[in-house]
Amino acid sequence: MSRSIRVAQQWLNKVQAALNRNGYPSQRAFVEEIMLAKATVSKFFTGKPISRLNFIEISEKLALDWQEIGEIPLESGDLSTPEAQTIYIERPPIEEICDQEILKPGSLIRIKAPKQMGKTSLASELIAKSQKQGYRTVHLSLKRIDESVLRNLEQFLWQFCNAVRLELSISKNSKDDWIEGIGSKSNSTSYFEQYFLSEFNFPLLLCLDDIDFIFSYPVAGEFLTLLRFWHERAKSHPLWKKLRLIIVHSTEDYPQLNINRSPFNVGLPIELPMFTLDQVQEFADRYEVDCDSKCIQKLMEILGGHPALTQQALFHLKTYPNVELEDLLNHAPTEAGIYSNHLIELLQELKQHQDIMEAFKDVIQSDNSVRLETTISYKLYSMGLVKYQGNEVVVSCELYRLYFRDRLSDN
Amino acid sequence: MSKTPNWNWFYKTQGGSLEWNHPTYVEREADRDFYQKLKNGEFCYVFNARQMGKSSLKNRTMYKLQQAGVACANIDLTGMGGSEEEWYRSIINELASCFNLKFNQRAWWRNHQGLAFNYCFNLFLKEVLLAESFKQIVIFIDEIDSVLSLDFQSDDFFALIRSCYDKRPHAPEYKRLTFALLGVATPSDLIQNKSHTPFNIGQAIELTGFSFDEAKPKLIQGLSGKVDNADKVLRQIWEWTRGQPFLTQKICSLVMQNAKNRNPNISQLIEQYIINNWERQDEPEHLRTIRDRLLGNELNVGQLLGIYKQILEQREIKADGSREQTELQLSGSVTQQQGYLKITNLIYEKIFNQDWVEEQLNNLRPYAEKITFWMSSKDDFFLLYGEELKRALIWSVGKNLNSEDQEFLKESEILYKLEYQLLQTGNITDPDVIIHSIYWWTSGQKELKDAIFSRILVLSKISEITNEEEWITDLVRSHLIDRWETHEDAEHLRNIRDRILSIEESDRFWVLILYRRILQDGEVEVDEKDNDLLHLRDLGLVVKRSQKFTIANRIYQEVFNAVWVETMFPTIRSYSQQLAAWLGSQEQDSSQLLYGQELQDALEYIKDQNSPKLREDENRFLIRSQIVNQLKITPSSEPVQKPYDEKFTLWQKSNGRDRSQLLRGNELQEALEWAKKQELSKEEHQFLIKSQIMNQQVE
Repeated sequence: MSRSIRVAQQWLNKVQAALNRNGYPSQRAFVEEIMLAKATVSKFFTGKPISRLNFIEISEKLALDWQEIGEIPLESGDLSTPEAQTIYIERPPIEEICDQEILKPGSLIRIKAPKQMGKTSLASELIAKSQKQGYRTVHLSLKRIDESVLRNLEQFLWQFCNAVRLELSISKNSKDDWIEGIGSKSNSTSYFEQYFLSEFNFPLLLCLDDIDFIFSYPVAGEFLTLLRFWHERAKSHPLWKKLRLIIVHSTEDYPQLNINRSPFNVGLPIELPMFTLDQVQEFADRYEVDCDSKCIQKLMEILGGHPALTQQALFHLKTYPNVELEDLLNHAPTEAGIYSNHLIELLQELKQHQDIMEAFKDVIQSDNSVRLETTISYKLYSMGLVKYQGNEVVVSCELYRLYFRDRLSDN
Repeated sequence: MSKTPNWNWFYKTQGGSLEWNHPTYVEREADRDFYQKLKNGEFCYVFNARQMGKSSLKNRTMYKLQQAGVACANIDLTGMGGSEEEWYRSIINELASCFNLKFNQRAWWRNHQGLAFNYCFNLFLKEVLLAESFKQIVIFIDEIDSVLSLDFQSDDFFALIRSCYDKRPHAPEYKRLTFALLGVATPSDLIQNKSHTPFNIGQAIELTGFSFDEAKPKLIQGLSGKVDNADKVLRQIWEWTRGQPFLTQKICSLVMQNAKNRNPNISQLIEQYIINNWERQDEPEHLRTIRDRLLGNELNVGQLLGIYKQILEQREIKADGSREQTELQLSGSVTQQQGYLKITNLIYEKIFNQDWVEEQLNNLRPYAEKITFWMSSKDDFFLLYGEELKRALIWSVGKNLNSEDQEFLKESEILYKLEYQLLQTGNITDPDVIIHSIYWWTSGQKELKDAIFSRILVLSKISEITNEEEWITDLVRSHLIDRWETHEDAEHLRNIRDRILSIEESDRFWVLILYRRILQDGEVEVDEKDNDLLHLRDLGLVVKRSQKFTIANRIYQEVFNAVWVETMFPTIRSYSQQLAAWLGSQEQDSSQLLYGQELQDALEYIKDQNSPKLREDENRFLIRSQIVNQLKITPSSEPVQKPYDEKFTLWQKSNGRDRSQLLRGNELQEALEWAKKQELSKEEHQFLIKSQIMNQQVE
């Protein structure tokens, strides 16, 4: 599912006309009514891409058919591949544990792993299965919420409720249902009860992806408190037993976090490990890449079963059948290899945090596991660069060791 | 799919509360206690550490009460609004939905526009809730400590709960209404005003760990499918946790998942999965919350750890109800048992052990308090000197200090070196003693320090110094303290006096009363937003040390002493001295009240004030005086139909908040005429005085 949509060139004039036709004297008047950022609305009217949810909301407000006027801009630089999304490699017993959990009234699953470990794939898989059981499902990435509302709880929660509503294809949309004076948290609670929970018999599976994206914004504390409040509410309000939450995040490193008022110390935590040898083999088979066990062994040695890196290697081998695995892996830890973007990105992030970079140098130069200060090892873990062995850490795969040993050497 | 339950997931391991019907819910003494007291309509509160099962207890008790026909509402404050308006309105909204009340919120609020929210809440309880429901009602309020982070005063809310109880004798419908509060807090954190607190009439529900016998029937079930001697295994677990609910459940579950045979070694499992690498394995978070509560407040972490260490070493210490002890208990790390504090269980003892405490103490900045104040004030006052500075520098060696610490230490060093060099002059042999003596007298107050330094530089060349400390004491006394009203060096002190005299008269009296209190008690805990305190703080007369306020330095203490304070009173009201004495006697000494002409003069004086700002205390003083005076008049035997009966009743119902009921103009004059011949209740007096004040304000 693509993230953004824009108004197609040939529709721009009609869209402009729709503004007046619906009784808005100006774009500004429209912005005030719809409670989206001015920039977002202005992008819409100039044919620049905006998030799908916002696009639908604006179209609805203007009584336009969003599917007719919208077009999907060409993606650039996105390495994930269409094929990849259809292939899902099971990592037992994780899927079964999750399936059981989702059946429980009022349950909460936290999928927590570093970037690119397959969190979203797992979530999508769980959602697809739930749909088959008749659950209503919403898969919402918080990155898709308009950034400009992340400073105002009222606007943020209104957009959040609205986004869930659109995903569930519920057409009613009126702010009249928000009761004046009781605050946006209480209003969201009532809104959920009224529109998403009481009118349907089947459970609602709400998956919130990239929840750590909002950590640096002012709304984070209250939003997390609200999620916890909802989870607790199921214990005394039968209606809320219908809600099943999945929270996906790569870190809980949020300085002002009051963990006892957050969803992070309740529910079922799921950590995603690296792929095993067998899983990598299965991956290659499903990709129809010709790979014998020796070749899988080599992949494992360099990539350690890292899901995204493995997938990218297999995709490359499939696309360019005449490339030798040996060559690919030789170039992999360099900026001429297939991982150059990924590696450069990590390098830049490291360079912004001197203390973390220094600590990581110790890790890659040591043959044994290394003991680091808790916050630093956690940060490295969140970046996917290390994995834990007890309280100590080791580099998460050989690829990183080879590349960073070269780039971070002191000369 | 097999139908047998999956025992692996039998125990509660996910954090958060248990539902009332969870198969492993363990009933404790508190279950019976809480239920019975609420059933009897008693106000209850459950204040305890995190993860002790407060909310689970609430869920279960609520269910049982509902079964017995009691209507219950469960208000979790974390989901309520943030501003005062939102907070009260969202609670009312929640109550309306819990009790299925058919009332039109929008219209109701429109009708009550402009009234205080707390007052509206009161009206809601009376006019809507109690009027619509005829059942017994219990309102549970969970996460009560979240009121501490609200940006408005929640004292009124607790006073309101109290008032619901006080009303019972006159308004029997209030007997049907009961509140239950739960959270991680102490009564004194929540409300300071002792006369309005509900907690001294309420019932504290003590929530302890499970006893073994309580735990056994429920918790043994899962284990018996997994191990040979479930009773023994559960007892071993209990020995480790002492029935701490979260840990007991977690370890039962650990055994289910990790026992390698039917005779598992419990100690080994606990060591491996709980104690080793505990910070990393603590999921869901439990131990880290205890750690954070122990270390959370840098200003008293030293004291907390000190007491904790003492308990570790001596096994137990006598409970004294001090603030620090209470905080330790709220962390969960220690528990009170028969008047003694003990470490709650063996697991905490192994994790938060001697080594851990030592390491934490070693990491503490020895100057934590001073740097905190210095960062916010940048006042030299808080910088280090002499021995303290040397100790801090030794401590800092090899530590990775942040820039704040570096700056603080550097500034301290610069100032100290400067003063030291300045004092290497004349007949002075030991500058350190001089610096110490100066700080002893001035606590670093800049003007006083400067005055003393200048005098030293002159005198050190001509006087013979045998004892440096005595020399400074003589100097301070002869130049500053004994002749402060005239000596050229003491100009700063005269300035302070003048600034006190320039405080508006209506405030000055109270500023001095507060000052007198601090002088007498040595230190006081005062609300930092207290206006009188702000005056004193701005004058520099008092400063904050730890959590309390004290007189800023010894020179002030000697110059502006108790005798001096008394001489200031006659400059204010005619009756200031009596009022001050009466307050000083804890309002007991009625010989200080005003009589006859004195009282008449006082009432005249209040009338003449342009902006009368009568404080509650002063109000009470005048009322008390009037009552005493009137008692001497024979009450008339006429029927007591008050001319203002209706308004007075309404005013009382609003808890004295509804000012529109106060008397105006002629109405008031008539009432006062009438009242002269009557024996009035305290409330009536207040009503009449408030009316008078309002009329004066209107004019």
